[in-house]
Amino acid sequence: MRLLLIEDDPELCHELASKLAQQGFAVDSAQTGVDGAYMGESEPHDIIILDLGLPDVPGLDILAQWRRKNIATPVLILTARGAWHEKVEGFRAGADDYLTKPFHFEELLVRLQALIRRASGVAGANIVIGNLQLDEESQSAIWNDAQAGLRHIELTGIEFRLLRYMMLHPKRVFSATHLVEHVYDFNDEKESNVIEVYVSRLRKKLAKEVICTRRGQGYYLDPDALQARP
Amino acid sequence: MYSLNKRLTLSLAASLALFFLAQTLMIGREVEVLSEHNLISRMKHDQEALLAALSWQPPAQIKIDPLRIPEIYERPFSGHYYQITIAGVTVYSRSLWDEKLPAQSTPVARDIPGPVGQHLLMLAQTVSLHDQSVEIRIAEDVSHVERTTSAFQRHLLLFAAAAVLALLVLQGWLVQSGLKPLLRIRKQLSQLEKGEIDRVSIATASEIMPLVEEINRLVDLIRLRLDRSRHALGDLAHALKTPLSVVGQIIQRQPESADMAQLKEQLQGIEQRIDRELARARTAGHAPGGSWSDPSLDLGDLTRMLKQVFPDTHIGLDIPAALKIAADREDMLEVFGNLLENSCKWARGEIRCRVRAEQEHYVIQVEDDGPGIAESEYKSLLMRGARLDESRPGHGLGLAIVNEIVAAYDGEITLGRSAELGGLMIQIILPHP
Repeated sequence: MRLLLIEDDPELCHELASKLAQQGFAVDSAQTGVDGAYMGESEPHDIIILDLGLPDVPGLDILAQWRRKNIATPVLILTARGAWHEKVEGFRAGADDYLTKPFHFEELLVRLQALIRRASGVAGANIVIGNLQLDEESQSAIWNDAQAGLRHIELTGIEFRLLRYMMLHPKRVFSATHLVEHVYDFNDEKESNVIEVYVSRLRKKLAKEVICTRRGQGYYLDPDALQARP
Repeated sequence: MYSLNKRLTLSLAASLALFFLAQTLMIGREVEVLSEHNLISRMKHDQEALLAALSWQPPAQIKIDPLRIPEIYERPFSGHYYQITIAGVTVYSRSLWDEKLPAQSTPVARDIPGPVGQHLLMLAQTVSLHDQSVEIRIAEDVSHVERTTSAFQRHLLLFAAAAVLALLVLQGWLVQSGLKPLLRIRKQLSQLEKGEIDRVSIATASEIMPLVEEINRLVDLIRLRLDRSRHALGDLAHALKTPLSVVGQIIQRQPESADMAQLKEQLQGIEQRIDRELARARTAGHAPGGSWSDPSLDLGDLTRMLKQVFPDTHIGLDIPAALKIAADREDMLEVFGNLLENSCKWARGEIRCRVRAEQEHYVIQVEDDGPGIAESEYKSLLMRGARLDESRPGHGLGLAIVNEIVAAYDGEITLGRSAELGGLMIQIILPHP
């Protein structure tokens, strides 16, 4: 999950960025409105956290500008003012959720996860496809097989990010480049062949047929392979 | 307090009535004097004619040449009489018939009862003829003159009364139309109070224009101050809360200890206090010109926004589409935002929000199907903003903020149990300004 954090306070920005990274997000951060607006337009983020009280450009203007340019990435707005009329205006400008400062990080996380699930059309509190359940808190997966029983699968950071992204968009074919862009942040060293490595690792940990390859196009997660076999 | 209209009308009416009364009395009196004056001067002529017609050479008989006096003295009881006394001998006019003129002590005697019920004006004059004093008395019946005079006076009085009445009506109209600009201003002021207009917008008389301009200036000033203080508060909030967020994050990173727990508690206290004071300072209350022009649209967006955050909760909104609420929009959004978010946090899946305008006030009801609150907790929830459940942040404080805003509008808030949904029901009565 590629996340853009736009927050002008350097302390809070740094703090949030590192915590979010720990939670399996590929975090890009910007401390000014101009940078943030540009990054939001140019990079394929999956979710954006936008502080409304930026010193250079009002957060709402940035949001409205993105929406005018048909950038539909879900946006959670952070506001220190906490006034409801501002939240309603944020919503009108195209925000998907709001959080008033100061907030607990856990609450931010819950809201982000809910927003991501909502954006990918997943209902319910957990990401579950057939036998496979993703545990976002421990960043691991649970394989529930009728015969073998429960199996906890430990995942590395990148494996988790990759699996989450694919589970949120089952059946959709993604190129390796696309996956790289959504799993790594802007500053990471990126090589598209690393995806191949992680896909094969995931196949090993889960089952071979879960992630399929479509030659010349990319990879997709096959939900049918996760259904309980009779 | 007094009415300008009443005061002007009354004082003008009194002065008008006084003037006309004085005028009527004066003219009436003047006419009386004038007609008497005429009578007397004619009677004096008759006296002189009589003197001229008188021929007397003592010891001869007194003789009056009838051709030289007006014929009317010959007709019985004609109302014109004379009586001439010379050296103890008195001659009477034929018109007196057998009557005599009453005695008279002054040269002019008025209102003397005469023959056949007549009212006489009598004149006496003494001249000297052949060394004898001759008293010539002449009398005339004035009853018809009196009648005419009093009829004239009556007519005059009637005319004056009619004129006073007509002038009063005219003057009432003048006062009314003179005060019209004030009435228009009064109407606009009440509209301003209700938030139907945002400034007084009439061009009026130059005497009142400074007042209108001053009112507008004050309204603008209030609005500007409110904007400015809200803006400054927003900046302050931003400046305080971002570092508080950082402090909170840092505390959370630390290993748990008694000190940390205390620090956390203190921090929470500060946050709550800031939220509360900010909300209080942001509240506009009944400021002139404050109006929430489209509650239905704003609440629609607010509930849609809450539905995004609480997707499993259904919020039923019942508000007349054309309803306008005479209260500051930001205040009201604060009220509804807090109430609805609070309900969303507690509801199992159903919330109902109703707004309606009644004769004297607006009624706002928000109810949910959550667990509700024990009656004993109502007061503390509204007063202190105590958090009843630590696991759902923000609860309680929201209601205390709502309570304070409602109080700023002289409204009333009551908590109870929803009859339909079983959870908490909050009812707010907001009086019209």
